Amino acid sequence: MKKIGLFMIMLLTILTLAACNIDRIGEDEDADLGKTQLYIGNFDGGYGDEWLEKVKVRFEEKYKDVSFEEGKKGVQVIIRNSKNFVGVTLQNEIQGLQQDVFFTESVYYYDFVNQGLLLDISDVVEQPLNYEFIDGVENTETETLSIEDKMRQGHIDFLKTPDEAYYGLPFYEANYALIYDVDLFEDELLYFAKDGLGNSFGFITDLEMERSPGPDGDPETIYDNGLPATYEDFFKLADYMVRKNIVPITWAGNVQNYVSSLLTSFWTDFEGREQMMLNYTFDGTAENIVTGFNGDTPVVEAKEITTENGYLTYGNQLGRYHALSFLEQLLANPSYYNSSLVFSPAQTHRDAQDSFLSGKYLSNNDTIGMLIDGTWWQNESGNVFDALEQAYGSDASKENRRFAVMPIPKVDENHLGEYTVYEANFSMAFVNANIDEWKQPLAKAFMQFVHTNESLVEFTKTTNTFRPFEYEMEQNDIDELTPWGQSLYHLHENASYVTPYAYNEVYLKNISTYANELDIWNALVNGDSIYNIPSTAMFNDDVTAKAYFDGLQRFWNKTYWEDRI
Amino acid sequence: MEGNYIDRLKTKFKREKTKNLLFYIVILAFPISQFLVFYVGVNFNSILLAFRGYDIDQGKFYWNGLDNFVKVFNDFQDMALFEIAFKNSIIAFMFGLLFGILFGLLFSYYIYKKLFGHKLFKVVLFIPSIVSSIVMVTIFMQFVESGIPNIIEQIFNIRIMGLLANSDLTFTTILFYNVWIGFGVSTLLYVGAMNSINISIIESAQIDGVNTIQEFRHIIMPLIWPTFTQFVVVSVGAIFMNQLSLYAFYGQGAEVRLYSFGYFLYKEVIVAANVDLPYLATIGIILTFITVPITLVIKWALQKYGPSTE
Repeated sequence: MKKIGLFMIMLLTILTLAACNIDRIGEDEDADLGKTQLYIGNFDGGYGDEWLEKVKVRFEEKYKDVSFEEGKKGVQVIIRNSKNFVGVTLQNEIQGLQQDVFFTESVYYYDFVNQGLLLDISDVVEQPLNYEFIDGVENTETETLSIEDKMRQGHIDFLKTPDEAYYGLPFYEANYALIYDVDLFEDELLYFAKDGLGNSFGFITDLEMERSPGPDGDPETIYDNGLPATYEDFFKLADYMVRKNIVPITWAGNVQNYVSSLLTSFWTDFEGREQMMLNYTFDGTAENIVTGFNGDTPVVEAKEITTENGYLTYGNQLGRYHALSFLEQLLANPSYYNSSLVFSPAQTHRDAQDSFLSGKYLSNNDTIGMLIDGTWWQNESGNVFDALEQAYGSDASKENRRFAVMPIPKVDENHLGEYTVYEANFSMAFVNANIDEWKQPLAKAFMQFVHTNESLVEFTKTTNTFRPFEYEMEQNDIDELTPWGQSLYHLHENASYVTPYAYNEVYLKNISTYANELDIWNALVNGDSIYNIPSTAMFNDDVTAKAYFDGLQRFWNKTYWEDRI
Repeated sequence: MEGNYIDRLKTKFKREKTKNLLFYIVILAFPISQFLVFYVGVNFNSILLAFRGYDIDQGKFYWNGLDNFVKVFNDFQDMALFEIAFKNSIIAFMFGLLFGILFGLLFSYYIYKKLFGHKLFKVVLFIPSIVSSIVMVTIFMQFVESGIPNIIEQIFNIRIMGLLANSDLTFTTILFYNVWIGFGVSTLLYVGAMNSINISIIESAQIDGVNTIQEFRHIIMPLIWPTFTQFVVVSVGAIFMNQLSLYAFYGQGAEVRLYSFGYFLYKEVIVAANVDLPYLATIGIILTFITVPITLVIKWALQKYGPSTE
C-alpha cells in the first residue's frame, strides 16, 4: 500500500512538473570567458529560434577577431527562449533581465518607451546598413539602404516617436488566414476551372486544365488561380468537398478568437488599407458606413471620421457586416465542420493543427481541407510533422507536404482585386535600456545585422514566413521555400498591409483593446445580450449576421466612445 | 564573590537575550520586508492608482480625484458585461456554498468515521488540489468533451456534444469543476477539525444512544463550527476574486456569458497597458468595499447564531 502511495505521489509530482512552464534555466550555453557575451531574449512562440541560431553563427563569425572588452576577443551570442518574454510580463521584468536584445510580441511600445525600458536605436534604423557600429565608419561591402528604407510607412508613423527617435522595430509579419492543403486540392481536383471549362460543378477535371483567375481577378497571377474568388465560390467549394467526404474546414475550439481574427482579416480585405486605417487614425472619409438596411441589403453612406465619431467605423463599417455574413453562412451548414471539435474547448490550436495534418493518414480522422490559424502555424506544428514523418515516411514531412495560404475570397465579383492583409500580434524587436554603455554598439550591430537583406532572407527561408520589411529574394531563394512559404511570398509582395497602429490620443488610450483584437467584436445583441465571440454567438444562440452587426452598432455607440476618448 | 557571580550571570543573561533578539530580528526581517513590499506596498500602490490617471503624452500618472470612480460607476450601470460578471460571481459563490460546503462536510464526516474505502476516497478528493490546475483542467476537459460523449454513445448509441461545447451546460460544468477541485482543501480542514474532537465526547454520546445523524448535527457540527465559519468567511471574502478556472479553460478567450469578476480582472490585468491600470485598480477597490462589510456581517452572524458547544 505504501509503495502504491509513493508511486502515486511520484506520478502526481511528475504530472505537476510537466504542466509547469519552467524556463530552461541553466540550459543556456556556457559563457566563453574569452569572448564578449551578447544575450538575446526570444519569445518562445510560433517562430522558434532556428532562425536566430543561424544569425548567431554568422554574427559570431563576422566579429570573431574584434575585441569588445579588454582581454577578450570575439562575441558569443547566447539565446534564451521563454514564454515570459512577452507583453506586460516582459514590461514588468525587463529591467532586471540579463538579455540585451529581444524579439517578442504583444508589446505596448509607448509604455515601454515612456518607462525608459528601451534603448534609443534611431541610428540603427536610420544609418545605412553599411555603417559599422563597432568602428563608427561605413564599409563598401554591404547594403547602402537603411532599415527605415525597408520599413512600411505604417510602422514608421507609429514607431518614430514625437521626438523623432526609434526604440523598436517590427519583428515578424503575421496574419490570421485560411490555410489549405495543396496536395489534397490537387488530388481531389478542388480548383475552379476557367469559365466554360471544368465539370458540371465548375471544377477542373485534370491538373493541366486552365483555372479560374482567383480572387484578384487576374489570370496572370497564377498563385491564386482556381481558388474561390467570392464568398459564393467558397461555399460552392465547401459543398463540393462535402460531396467528396472531405470536411471543408477546422479550427481550434479552445481559441474561438482565431475565428474572430479571421473575420478581422475579411473585414480588412473588404475595406482596403486606407479605409481600414480610419479605425486607428480617425481622420478621413469612410466610404462604407452602414446607415440602415433595405431588406437584407445594407444602405451605405460616406461619413467624415474624426476622433469624435470614430465609433462609426467600429459599429457600422460595411466590411464587418460582410465578414459576419460569411461566418453565418459557414456555420449554417454543419457538414462544413465538425461541431464537436471546433466548439469544444478541449480542442486546442495544436489539436486543430494535428487533425488538419493527420487526416490524410489516419482513416478514423476526418480529411480536412482548410484550417483557420495564424501564418506561423507551420513552425508551431513541427512536432506533428515530425511524428507523421516517423510513422509514414518522408512524404509526410514538413518539407514535402504542401500547404498554402488561401487569399480571402471577395464578397462578390464586383470586388475582385488587390488583397489587403491585417497584421496581427504587435510583434517587436528592441534593445534593453539596461545594457551597459560599452556594449551598446555591439547590440546595435546585432540589430542591424538581423535586418540586412541576407538575414531577412535567411529568416524567411528558415521559418517560411516573412518579416514586415521590403527585401529582395532571388528566384532560387523563393524556390527553396515550401509551398506555404511561397504562397506567403506572393502575399508579402502583392498585398497591401494594414499595420493597425497609430500615434494619437484615442488610440493610445485604448491600446490594449486594439492589441488584443478580442474586444473589437463586442456586441450588444437583441437588446442587452452581450457577446464577444461571433462564432459562438451564431452557433449557440442562432444570432444572425445582421443581428450581430446591429449589436456592434449598439455596443460601439456615442456614449461608450465618449468615455474612451 | 557571590555578587560577581550574579553580575556575571546577569551579563550572560543579557548577552543571551540580545543574541536571541538579534536572531529573532534576522529571522523575521526577510518575511516582514517581503510582506511590506509585496503586500502593503503593492496594495498601497493599487489604492493610489485608483485616484490617478495616465498622461499619454508624458507617460506619467497624475492625480485625478474621483474621476475613475465616476467612470467605473457609469460602466457598472451601462455595461452588460459587469452585470453578467456580478451575477456569475454570486451564482458561483452560492453554488460553492451550497454544494461545496455541504458535500465537503459529508465527505469529511464519511472519512472521519473511517467508513468503507475512506482512504481511497481521501486520496481521490485531494488529488485535484495538488495537481497543477492546467493538468486538471486538461484531464477534465478531455473527460467531459471526449469521455462522456463516448460513454453515452457506447451505451445509448446517441452522439452528444461535450458538456463544455454544449452551451446549455457549459457554465454548470464549470461550476461543477470548481466545486469538485475545492473538495480537497475543505475535506482536509474539516477532517482535521473532526479529528481534534476529544474521542471521549463521541464515546459518551454513543453510550447515550445518539445515531449518526444526531452525532453529526449535535456534536460534530458545533465542535467544528469555528472551522466551518472560517471556511464560509474566506469564501465570502473571495466572491469577486474567484475566476472559476476560466483562464485555465479558455485563456483570454472565454465568452462574456461565462465571465466572473475574478476572471475579468485577471484577464484584463495581464494585458493591461499603463493607461488601463487606474480603472482596474478602481474596480478592485469598489469590489473590496462591497465585500468587506458583507464578510464582516456574515462572520458576526455565524459566530453569534452558530450552534453552541454547551
